[in-house]
Amino acid sequence: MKPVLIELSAVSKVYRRDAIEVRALHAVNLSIRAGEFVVVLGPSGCGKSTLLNLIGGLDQPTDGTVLVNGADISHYTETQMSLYRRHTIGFVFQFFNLIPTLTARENIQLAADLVRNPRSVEELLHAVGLSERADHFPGELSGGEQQRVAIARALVTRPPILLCDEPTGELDSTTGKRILSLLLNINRQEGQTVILVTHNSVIAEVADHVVRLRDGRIESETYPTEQPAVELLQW
Amino acid sequence: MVKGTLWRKLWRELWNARWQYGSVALMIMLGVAFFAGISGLYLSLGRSLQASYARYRLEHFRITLRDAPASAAERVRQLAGVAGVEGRLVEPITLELGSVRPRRLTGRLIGVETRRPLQVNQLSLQRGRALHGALTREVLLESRFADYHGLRPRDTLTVRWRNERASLTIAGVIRSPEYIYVIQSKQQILPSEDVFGVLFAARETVGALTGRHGRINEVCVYVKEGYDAARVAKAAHQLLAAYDPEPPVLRKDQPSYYVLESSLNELRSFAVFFPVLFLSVSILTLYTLLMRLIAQQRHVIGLLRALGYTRVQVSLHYLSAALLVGVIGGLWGIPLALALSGWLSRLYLAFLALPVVELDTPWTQIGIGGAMALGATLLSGWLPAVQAAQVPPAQALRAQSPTVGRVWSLDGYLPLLNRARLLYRLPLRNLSRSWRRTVIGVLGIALGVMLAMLARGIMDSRDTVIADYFNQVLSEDLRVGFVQMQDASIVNRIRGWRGVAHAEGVLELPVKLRRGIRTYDALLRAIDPNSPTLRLSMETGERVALTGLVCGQVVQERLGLERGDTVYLSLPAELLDESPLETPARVHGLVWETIGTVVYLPREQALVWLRRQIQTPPNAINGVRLWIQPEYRREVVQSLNQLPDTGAVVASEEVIQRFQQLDAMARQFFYFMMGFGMILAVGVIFSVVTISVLERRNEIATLLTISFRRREVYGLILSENMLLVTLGVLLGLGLGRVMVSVAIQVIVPSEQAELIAFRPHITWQTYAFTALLSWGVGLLAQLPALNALTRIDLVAALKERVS
Repeated sequence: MKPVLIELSAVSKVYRRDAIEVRALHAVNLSIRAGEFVVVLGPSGCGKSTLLNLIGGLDQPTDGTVLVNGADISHYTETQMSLYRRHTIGFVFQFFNLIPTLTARENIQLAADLVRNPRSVEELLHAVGLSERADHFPGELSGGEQQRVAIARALVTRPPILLCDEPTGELDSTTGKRILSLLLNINRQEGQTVILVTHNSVIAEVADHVVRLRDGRIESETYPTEQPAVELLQW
Repeated sequence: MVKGTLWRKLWRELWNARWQYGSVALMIMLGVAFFAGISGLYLSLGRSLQASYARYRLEHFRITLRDAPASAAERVRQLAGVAGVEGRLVEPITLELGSVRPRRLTGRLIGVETRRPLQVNQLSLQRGRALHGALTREVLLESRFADYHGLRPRDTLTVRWRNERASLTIAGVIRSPEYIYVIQSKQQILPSEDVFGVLFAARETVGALTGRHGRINEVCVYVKEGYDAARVAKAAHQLLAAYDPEPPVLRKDQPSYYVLESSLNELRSFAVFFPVLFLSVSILTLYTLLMRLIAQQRHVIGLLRALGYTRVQVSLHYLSAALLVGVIGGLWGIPLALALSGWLSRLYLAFLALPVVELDTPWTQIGIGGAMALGATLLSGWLPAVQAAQVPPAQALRAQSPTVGRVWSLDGYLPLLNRARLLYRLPLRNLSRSWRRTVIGVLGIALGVMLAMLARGIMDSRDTVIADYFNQVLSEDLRVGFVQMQDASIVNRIRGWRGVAHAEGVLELPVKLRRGIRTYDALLRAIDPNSPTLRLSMETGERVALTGLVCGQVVQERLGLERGDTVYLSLPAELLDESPLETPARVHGLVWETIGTVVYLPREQALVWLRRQIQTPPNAINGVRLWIQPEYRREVVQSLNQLPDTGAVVASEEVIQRFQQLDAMARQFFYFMMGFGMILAVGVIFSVVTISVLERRNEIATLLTISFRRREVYGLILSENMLLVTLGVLLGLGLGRVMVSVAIQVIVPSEQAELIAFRPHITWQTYAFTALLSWGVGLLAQLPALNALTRIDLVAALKERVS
């Protein structure tokens, strides 16, 4: 059995804005093992993205601890957080978040500049099937192509953990399946832990570990033993 | 600091918004160029002046004596600290130019030592030859006067001193360090080489003309380095006590030196004031641009933080944007600064015709200007950079939620508008939904308007001062001065001439005023209180009756006078045979006079006072003001020149023309400033308005999608921005008015304030022109961006994240 990579203990997150208080997560306990393909499911506003942000070091819990590879990141300083994200996390966003004034190649290079031993940008472009489009700007790429660039950017720093927030949300089903296949390949072949947040329950069918969230609480956790091929999924 | 890929991002973003950032870089360029350019002129002028003074040994002080033997100068030579002494015999004269119908002008004949080189106030020979021998009938003529009247070596002119006449030959034309700026006295503003000639002759020649062989009435001293000129002057004054000496006149009060130093100080103020203003405006504009950039790039900032860029790296990235603009502006500014410095220096130094010209390349000032530019951009970029670093990455990556709480909007409270269709209410609502953004936008436009108005406002104020001066002082067509007092009956004679519409006698004399320990040299004007041309009024316009001593603005300020105060009047020693007599006089009124240091007395009172000290005709005048029919002007001038004791005949029209010729250079400078200011104004308004349009992309797409017509959307954005521009214009016109006042106080050095009462006065044409220019720019700046936006890909624009 693979070791536990990420452990959340009694994690709560409360957002306060003037007089308004929003409790996004309530005392969540969650363990994720290395190499798992985790899908976090739930309706809008259930706390999925908050969970992802806490694991990814983009935010800190109001209560509880977040351990990643044994290190408690919940009390990291800003600089420690930046370094944690740089070396441990790769992000893939729903809206791609590519920088419009940089080409596909340069968007990947932007992340590569941060580490001493990045992966080869050209190899990654090839791996995601965009060698021919490397010098195009995001405005010249389709949604699927942009998301593939985003995935390549997420991988270039060799992060052990890949966090994907609704990566197929802006894509049609065919393109979405291609992206899902890519993420699964990364998980299966390279052993990276992938945590994918979605409201699309069909995607959960390919996961090793499914976490269902509702109203900031874990409603259920399952570990499917059989996963259908991505091509067979319908949404 | 910032790695390669981020640099590329930065550079491309700046390039995409090149017109906005370019306008800021332009402002910085102009600030640097102006500072270094004017500083270069200031340095070149200062160096050239000092070099001229050193080369030609301009006196460190001068003492006027009643009458002394030439040996008195030799005694001064023995004092410690004296490097050189010259004893001179100086007399006011009348010059007659031309033989058939000689023109009479005032002049000064300076008798100097010719048997050896001069030790003080050396002369720079321009044409002809130096004087030879002691008793010659030759003179050296000051070059500006010579050039103005077309006089050359070997020409002759006639010199009159009292009743004595002498025909003298011009041996050479010279420049003197005493008369770089040719004025008769420190109280004059306008150079007077057209009506005032300075001649240098052998002292013996002057002695022969005036009957004062072997005598001097002036000692000029050059002090050794390391000695205090004031102390040496005091010692010399004590040494010469037996000859009834006037207080020493130090170099700083020498008329030409004084005026030129004032010009230098004015330039120094210019060199600092305007660049500081330009850079301040560029700071605000760049700050606005960067704050908006960061607002637009919230999700990019979130992404960079998510990728692992630290706060410091993110801050430095956006600070680099500011620095890059500063570096570009600074670099552009260098060649412009060099060109401006060289051009202005050559122009101004040629105008002054200095004996020694030393141009200075202002590398240090360019360096300082560049540092100022970088400092300005750092200042403008620092807060936005800090704010960028503070953006919480998790929040930044989300689409921005609407402002919490109720948004107060003005449109709901205005009658009529609060019932109007939403489309008509939106412009005002949009301005009030983000007050901070609106205030910054209005402020940016206001600063642009202020810049456009500034130089024009200063010119208006200047023109008003000069126009007031000419209207008050030169309201006559002709003025004749007499070398000796005349009886006022001559006025009746002149009134009877053909072509003379009106004539008035004048009595004008230099006087000294004393209140307590404060003294002041002024010009006394003794006028008939019933004269129809008398115009004495206060600053409010209220007329002042001439019932006693009335003092002008500057005299009042210098002596701290109020109505009812007592001052002591005395005549200068050179006009008297005996020691001056102080007479108390009560101040009856205070008047507004823009130029000059003048006091007024009713002529009868002045005559009573004068008669106690000098012999005068019963009803004495020393000049006549004439109002004539233009077609008889020549005839009248000829008749005036034929009067006995006529000194100079001056036509006001010629004085005004001469002034306008001399003023042309100053006006060019102000036009240049106006151009600068308008370019900056256009840049600032363009930036503010363009940003305001471009960041509405998503909103415009939404409006078009929900079926607003393009025309309606166009009109909405246009009217909102024109409302912004209008608020900015109104504020800017007010700021401009204030800044003109500040500029006048900063730029006009206290020395010039002694002679000029400079008040801000801005014409309605300037207000109108500035407002129209600003509105025009505000309107035109929006059109390209609006045209592009109303043809956008709606789908793509709607998908864009709202910032």
